[in-house]
Order: sequence, then C-alpha cells, then structure tokens
Amino acid sequence: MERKRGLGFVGALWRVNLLSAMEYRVPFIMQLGGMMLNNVIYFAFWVLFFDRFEEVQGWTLRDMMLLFAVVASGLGLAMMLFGNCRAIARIVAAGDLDRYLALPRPVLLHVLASRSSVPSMGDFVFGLIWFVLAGDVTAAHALRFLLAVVLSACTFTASLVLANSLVFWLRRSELLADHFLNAMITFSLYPGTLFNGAARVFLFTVVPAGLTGALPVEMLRDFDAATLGWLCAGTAVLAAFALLAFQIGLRRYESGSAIVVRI
Amino acid sequence: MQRTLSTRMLLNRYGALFRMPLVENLAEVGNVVSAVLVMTMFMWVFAMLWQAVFAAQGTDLIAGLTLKHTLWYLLMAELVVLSKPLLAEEISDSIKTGSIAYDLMRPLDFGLFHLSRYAGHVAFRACVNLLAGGAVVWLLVGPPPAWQGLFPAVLALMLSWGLEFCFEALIGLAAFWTEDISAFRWIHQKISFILGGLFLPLDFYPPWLAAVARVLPFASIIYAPGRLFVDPAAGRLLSTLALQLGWLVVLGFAFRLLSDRALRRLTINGG
Repeated sequence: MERKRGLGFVGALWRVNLLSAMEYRVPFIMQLGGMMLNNVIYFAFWVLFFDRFEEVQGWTLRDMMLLFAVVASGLGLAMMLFGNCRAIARIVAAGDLDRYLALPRPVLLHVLASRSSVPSMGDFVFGLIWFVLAGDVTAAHALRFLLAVVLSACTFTASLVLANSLVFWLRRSELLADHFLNAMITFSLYPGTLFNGAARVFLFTVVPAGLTGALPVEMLRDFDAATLGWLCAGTAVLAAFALLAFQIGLRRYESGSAIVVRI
Repeated sequence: MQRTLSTRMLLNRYGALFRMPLVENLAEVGNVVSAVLVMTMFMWVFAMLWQAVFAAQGTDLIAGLTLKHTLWYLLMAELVVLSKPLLAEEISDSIKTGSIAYDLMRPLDFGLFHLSRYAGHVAFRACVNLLAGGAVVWLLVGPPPAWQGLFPAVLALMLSWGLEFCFEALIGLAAFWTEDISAFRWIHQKISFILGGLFLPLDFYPPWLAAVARVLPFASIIYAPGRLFVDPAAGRLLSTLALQLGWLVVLGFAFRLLSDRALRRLTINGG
C-alpha cells in the first residue's frame, strides 16, 4: 500500500514536470530538437573517424552507433525521470533541502523526481533512433537494448547522487559534481577497448563510465549472462553506495533557515 | 590634452575590466583545479585513442602528421575551446533578467565592455590549460615538434578568440528575439567542433570536406592555431592570419550591426 502511494506520488511529479515543460511549446520543441541535432552533429566526428580508419581496437562505426544509442538514451532517461540527480550539491549548498525535509515523503526520491530536463528528452529519443539506424532490430535485441538503457540510466543516477553527496562533507562541491558528470559522459562515449589495466579499473570504480557505455554495448554485441550479471551487480553496488552516502550525509545537513514558498 | 586624458581613462577602464576576471579566477581555487583535471582527462583520452590508431595503422605518419604532431595539435585545439568563458549565456541571461540595463548605463561601449572581460577570462584560463595540458602531452610524447611555432600560434590564438567572441556575442544577442538560445549554442558548438577539427585534424578528413572546412571561420578558430604550432611554415602563417583577419572583419561587422539593432529594441521599465 505504502509502495503504491510512493509510486503514485512519483508519477504525479513526473506528470507535473512534463506538463510544465510543455507549457512553453516553442522553447520545448527547440530544446528537444536542438539536443537531437546536437547529438547528430557530434556523431559526425565518428563518421569521419571511421571513414578514415575503419576500425579501432575491434570497434566499428556500428558499435559506436550502439554506444551513442545506449549512453544518450540512458543519460536522457536518468535526467528525464530524476533530473535533480546532477543538482543535489547545488540544492544542499543553497539550503534548499529544507523544503523536501518538511514533507512526509522519501527525501532522496522527492528531490530526484522534482525536476525533468527537457533537452534530455531529446537525448532519449535520439538514442532510440540511433539504435534503429544501427540495424539488427529484432525483438530480442530491442529487449536487450532497453535493459542496457535502464541499467545505464540507473548507473548515471546512482553515480551522480554519490558524487553530489560529497557536498555534505565538502560544503562546496558543485563544480566537482559538474566535472564528474562531464567525465562520465566523455569516458562513456569512447570505445571501451581503448582503456586497459589501471585505466580500466578507474573506469569501473572512480568514474564508472564503463558501466554506462562500454559494458552495456559489450552485452549488446555478444550477449552472455556473465556480462549481464556484472552489469547488474555493478549498478546495484553503486546504487547501494549512493543511497548510503546520501542517508549518512543527510544527518550532517544543517538547515539554511531559508523561508521559501512553493506555488 | 583633453583627448589624451580621455583615451587614457578609457584604457584604464577597459584595463580594469580585463583584470577583474583574472582576480575572480585566482580567488576560485576550485576552478583552477577543475580546469587542470578536465584538461588532463581530455589529453589522456586523446592519447589513448591516437596511440591505438597509430599502432593499428602500423605507421608513424598519417596525412603528414606523427603521433607527436597530432597530440600537440589537439592540445592547442582544446586550449581554444576550454579557455573561453560562456559569453553567449552571460549576455542571454542579462537580457532575460533585465540586468543588461545596468550594463548599458555604464559609460562604456557594450561590445568593448564584454570583450575586455572575455579577454581577461581567456588569458587566465589559457595559461592554466596550457600548463596542465602541455605537461600531460610532454610526458606522453615529448616536447613540441617545433618551438618556433609558439609565437605564430599565440598570434593565431588571439585572433581565434576574437572570432569566437563575435560568434558567442551574436548567439547571446539572439535572446532579444527568442526565449531560449541553448539550441543555437549547442548547434554552433558542435558545428565548430566538427568543421573546426577539434577531435580530428582536418588533414584526416576526406579531401573535399577538408577543402571546404579550411576556408570556413570554424577552422580559423580551432584548426589554425594548432596546425601553425606544429608546422610554422611562413606561407601557412601568412595565409592563416589573412583568413583570420578577413573573418574577423566580417563577424565584427555582423556583431556591430546586430548589437545596434538589438539595443534599439530594448525597452526598460521602472527605475
């Protein structure tokens, strides 16, 4: 019963977010279309690259299309549903967490779902289109793709919550959180086979971009239960750490005593 | 006497505006650390990618560039992009919030006011980025291929930031007509990246595309300084600077035209 009410609450937040974003039609369409066009132009780099070099460490243009599809849709989904995952540090530093603490709802869930990013909807749609264009759209492959997108979205959300929760200890870590997101996106969008040894460990721990791009694509290229298992385990561990960090950090939070009226 | 004093006063004013961002950036240690981290990260990723490419091709030379040329070129290209402030956003925000009224009340030229602040930000960030990125590239592939390329590259860099200033200001001023400029910013940014050769030197492009891209302003901004740095031939220097100056005249004129029209549209209410 409690879980059902919680889901209903989150659903209501998402609905409000979507309606308020669509209130301004022209900016909504411009941001959505602009982000898709932005991604298409960005991908042109890899078209030019593979036109010249054909393959880099076993990766071809089609693999890069799958990588862009998974990362764009994963990031888009995370920012559409939990758009505040990248803004927690800013919210805490400004003392704006008070408004969530006063309400009888799970704080983290309420914070995360209170904002949906419009451009990210463009990312999400772009990823779906790119997956179709990459070819091999069978039911099984599409199902695996959706699974990869959901896991990638969970990893993006969890790692951003974790990075942003540092604000409870460092007080000002907004910039660090921004750079962490940039690093996640940058490292996610390169062929996974480029990174070996210490670099690979780094990309599955400190900046877990391997879980948002390279590993999901490996699962799509050659599906096996072990890769899926590693992906699920990695995402679950990150989510557990994120939850723990936020809960422990929240105990250290001191109110900004700001009086804010939400309408 | 009157004219000399007035010129000196103006120089002092714009000089103060140039120095202000330097002080602001120095006070924000976090910004310096982040700039170092970002530059290090990008150059590291590029090194991994291009080492793999050169190894796979089994050659030391691709389109006339070695691995060392490529990485030093990419450093200069990143330097152009990572050292500039978000001017379009700043202008657009000032239009949306109405704070542009305060900017216009100052006894300063609108364009020169923003140019002075822009130059201050660029000067500081470029030094930090060059030191951080240069150290990474030096460690990975050794010193720059041609030290004599440094002076021509600095000249080309200054012109390229001038061009980028015009583009950013034009996009920012678009906020007078449209509610949101983010789509323009993303598209301009990505077109610059691709046609400017940010991730891939234009020499590696298909010949027809490279020929078209080379004459566009995006190449004058991103490609030109890096290419001059690794290959500072006299002919290249002259053609690069001539093209950059030509585009600067065109874009500078466009900025002046648009800013005059935009500021005429401005209506300020209240006091």
